[in-house]
Amino acid sequence: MNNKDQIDLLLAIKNEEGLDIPDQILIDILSLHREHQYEKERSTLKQVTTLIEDHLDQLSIENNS
Amino acid sequence: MKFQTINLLNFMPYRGTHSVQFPQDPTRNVMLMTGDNMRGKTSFLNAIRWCLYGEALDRSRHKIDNLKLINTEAAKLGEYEMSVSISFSEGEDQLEMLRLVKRQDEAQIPLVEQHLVETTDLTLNGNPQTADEISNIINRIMPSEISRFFLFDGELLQEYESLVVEQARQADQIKERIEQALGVPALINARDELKVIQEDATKAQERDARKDKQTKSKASQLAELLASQELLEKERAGINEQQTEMEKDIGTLQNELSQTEAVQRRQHDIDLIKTNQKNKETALDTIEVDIKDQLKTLWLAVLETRIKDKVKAIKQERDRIQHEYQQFASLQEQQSNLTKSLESEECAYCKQPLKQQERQAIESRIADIQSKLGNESPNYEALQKLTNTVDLLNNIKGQGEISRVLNLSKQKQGLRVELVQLDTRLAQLEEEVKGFDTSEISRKRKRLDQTLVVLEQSRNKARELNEKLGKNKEQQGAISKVIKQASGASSRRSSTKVDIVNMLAQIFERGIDDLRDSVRDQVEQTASSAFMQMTTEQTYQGLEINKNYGLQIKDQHGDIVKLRSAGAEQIVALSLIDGLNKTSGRLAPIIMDTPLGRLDPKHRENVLKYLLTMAEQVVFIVHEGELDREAISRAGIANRIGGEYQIQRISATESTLVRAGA
Repeated sequence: MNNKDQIDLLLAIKNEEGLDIPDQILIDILSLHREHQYEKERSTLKQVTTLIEDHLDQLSIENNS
Repeated sequence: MKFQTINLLNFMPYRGTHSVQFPQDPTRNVMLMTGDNMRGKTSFLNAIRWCLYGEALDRSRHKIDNLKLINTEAAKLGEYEMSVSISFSEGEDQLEMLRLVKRQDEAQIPLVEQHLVETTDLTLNGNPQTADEISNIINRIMPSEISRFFLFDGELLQEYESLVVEQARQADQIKERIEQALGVPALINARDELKVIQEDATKAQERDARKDKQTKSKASQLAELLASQELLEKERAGINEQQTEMEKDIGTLQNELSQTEAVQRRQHDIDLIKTNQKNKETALDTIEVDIKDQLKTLWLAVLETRIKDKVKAIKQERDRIQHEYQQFASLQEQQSNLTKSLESEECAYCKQPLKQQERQAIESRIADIQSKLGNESPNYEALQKLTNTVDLLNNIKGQGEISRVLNLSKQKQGLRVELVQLDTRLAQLEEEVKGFDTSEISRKRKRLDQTLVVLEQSRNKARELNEKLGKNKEQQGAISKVIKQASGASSRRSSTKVDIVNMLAQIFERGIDDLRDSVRDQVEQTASSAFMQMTTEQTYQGLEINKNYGLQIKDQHGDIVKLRSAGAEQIVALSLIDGLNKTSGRLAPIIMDTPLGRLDPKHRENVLKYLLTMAEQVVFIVHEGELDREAISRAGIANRIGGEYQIQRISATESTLVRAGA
């Protein structure tokens, strides 16, 4: 199953569950993990945390403006 | 991925240097490598595996130590350098991978693995890569988990048969490897990391909520739940650790026991024979007691023969007297009736009055009877005596006893012969298991059974803990929501973070299940299509997949075919490989060792044709009996062969690779 199929699958779940979360963050987390899934030493936790923090910053800017 | 060249140095039976060029022409993309058994076919497959992933596997799929991989003849001459290099392309990139082993200290003869040193080099478009990057680059191009579907040993295809048994332990491991190959780990890893972030975010929310009067009490509740979660997770981690240990132990025991299977079977036969011997010895004792009992009355048989004529004469005399007695009684009755008729002047039978003529006839008949009866009556006492004598003599019977004793003796003889045969077989079996510690094998079997029971109990405990953790998380979620609604500025960001991470974790959690279903469907479809092209039984509907990716054949009614031949198993396994191969979305050379072993000529033809469509580069490593010229020409693949090598024997421990036509 390729990256696009897996993205479609996650987006479909998001829509079905009616969850209010941007598509891009899902796409970014999945792509990151697909890229590193066979690596024994991964450093993805830090990168996922950064993706979430960036999204929170974005939300905060939107709320303040 | 496309292989170009492989170079071997002192690798397994290939002493010295050997080089193999892979076909590059897309229209002649098949390479044929032939060799007899034990010449080094599997070693060639192992050379590729070892170079790329650093592991060569034995038939039990266990890693072979480097020390054992070095060619024996080379080692005897003190040549402890072994290497394999492969040049290959991936898309536009050109790569060259080299794995090399040599002795740590030139002055020392390597006795253990630590006396050797292993190094790897990889160049990408001519640029050397760092040691840390090498494994990642190779795994990005062809993950080791996926390589098993490209570099595979036909003789190990049967391991996929265990997938049909949903409870099989081996099935769990293969299922995990299949899912790794199909991209499920990306979602699993993401979900696991999101859980870590979720926990940190909840802790941050709890800290922030403490600062706010409105949410302080909820923060305490959340803190309690977090503390309880920590304890439960600690307990679960302990259990997981124990389970891993137990699984490792089970794997080792199963492997050790599988290696002594033949011994175990013989030991089982020995136990059966010993039980059988005991039963037969008991039966022999019973027969001997019976024979003794029968012998006590056997003298009657001798007497019976001797008195036979005497008894016959007595019986005849008795019968004669008895006949006389019956006649006398009948005449007496007639005389009485006739006398009554004369006295009453009417017929004693029909009650008609007697005429003169009739009276005279009756008087004459009475006179006749009187003369017959005479003066003496039969000797009743003699008759009684003779009857008693015959009864007594009839009790003397011995012929039955003789045949019974003869029968028992025959049985006894038969049992003795069987006992001798059992003794001989027992001696043979005991000789075969000599040198093996059979009691140690029994102890291992017992330990395996016990560990399996404890593992099941541990799994139940883990399920209980997971349920508790699930409830704990639900409660945390509910409290987090309350905090978020009532939160002031201080805890707004942490509450939003909890919310986002919860949503992400929820999506990835469900995504894992949905992805599994989706890849299973995809594997089922592609494997079914492959199966229908390879099987000669065209009435089949295809294949059905189970939770473990085990495939079962559907007959013309859509019912599962319960019994499959060895050939059918191989076709199903190859179909699964193709299904997984295509679902994994990777393009790589397929290198197959003994892929056609169990197939009949028609299936071989179908499989050969189909395998050509499976990849851009196909290497068949076969023995001549498996794939001869006739089969190649029947399958119409002769013009697809772009390279051919023969593995030739030099000695029992040395082989060489010879290019055909060279």
